Amino acid sequence: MRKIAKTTAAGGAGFLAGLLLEKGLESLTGLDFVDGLFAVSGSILAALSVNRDLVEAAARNIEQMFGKDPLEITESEWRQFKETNPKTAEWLEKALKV
Amino acid sequence: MVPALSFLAKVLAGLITAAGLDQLTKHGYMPQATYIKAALKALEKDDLDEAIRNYKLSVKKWRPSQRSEVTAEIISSAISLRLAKLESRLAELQAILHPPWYSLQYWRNLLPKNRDRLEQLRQEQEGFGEAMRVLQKLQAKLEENDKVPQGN
Repeated sequence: MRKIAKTTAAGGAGFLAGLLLEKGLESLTGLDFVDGLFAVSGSILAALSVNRDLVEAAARNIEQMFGKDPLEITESEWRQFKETNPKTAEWLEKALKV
Repeated sequence: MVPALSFLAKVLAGLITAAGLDQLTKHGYMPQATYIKAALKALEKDDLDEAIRNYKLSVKKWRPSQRSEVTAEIISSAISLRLAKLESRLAELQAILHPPWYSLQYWRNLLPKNRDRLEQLRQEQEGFGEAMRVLQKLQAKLEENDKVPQGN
């Protein structure tokens, strides 16, 4: 029992010391080093989800352009969008296999 | 109470990684998708400056790809849509503030009771004009990026 209490106390103290050190370093350098470590994996995740973001951004533009959900636009509206945004339209057609 | 040496080593490694990544990100060395994603996120939050900055970083050290070109077009289209909305509102205001002398609106504008409202509309017109200038500058900035030679 005493051993458990001792380990818990030491663990708690270590955690607090680590937390203080982390916050101290962050405030001194302005860098979040934990985020820094995650940034590497973040960039890989970004590459995977960027296609979805592109589709969403294009959909928002279509919605703003015609005032309705992209799924509800007519063929002539799509052609109009295609004229003003040829690269996006081509990419959407490929990505969504239209 | 002093943190273990291994913990300090991990902190140092993390700190160096963060500093390195910060510099790599600032100079456009991170994968292109990172910047494209950041640009699209900024666009979602209506932060056009940040969206353009990230798009520019995406093609600073990397060759323009289909995805980067689509991103540029999406940003440009978002700016154009905002410009079109502002233009339409400005046209409405113009019709109210400067109607032809033979219209009813012209004579209505001369009434003293409408003075405050007309002043408000004039201020709105100025604000929209300024917003349009900012958006046009941003669009020029975005297009200017296409002319920058690669590898800069």
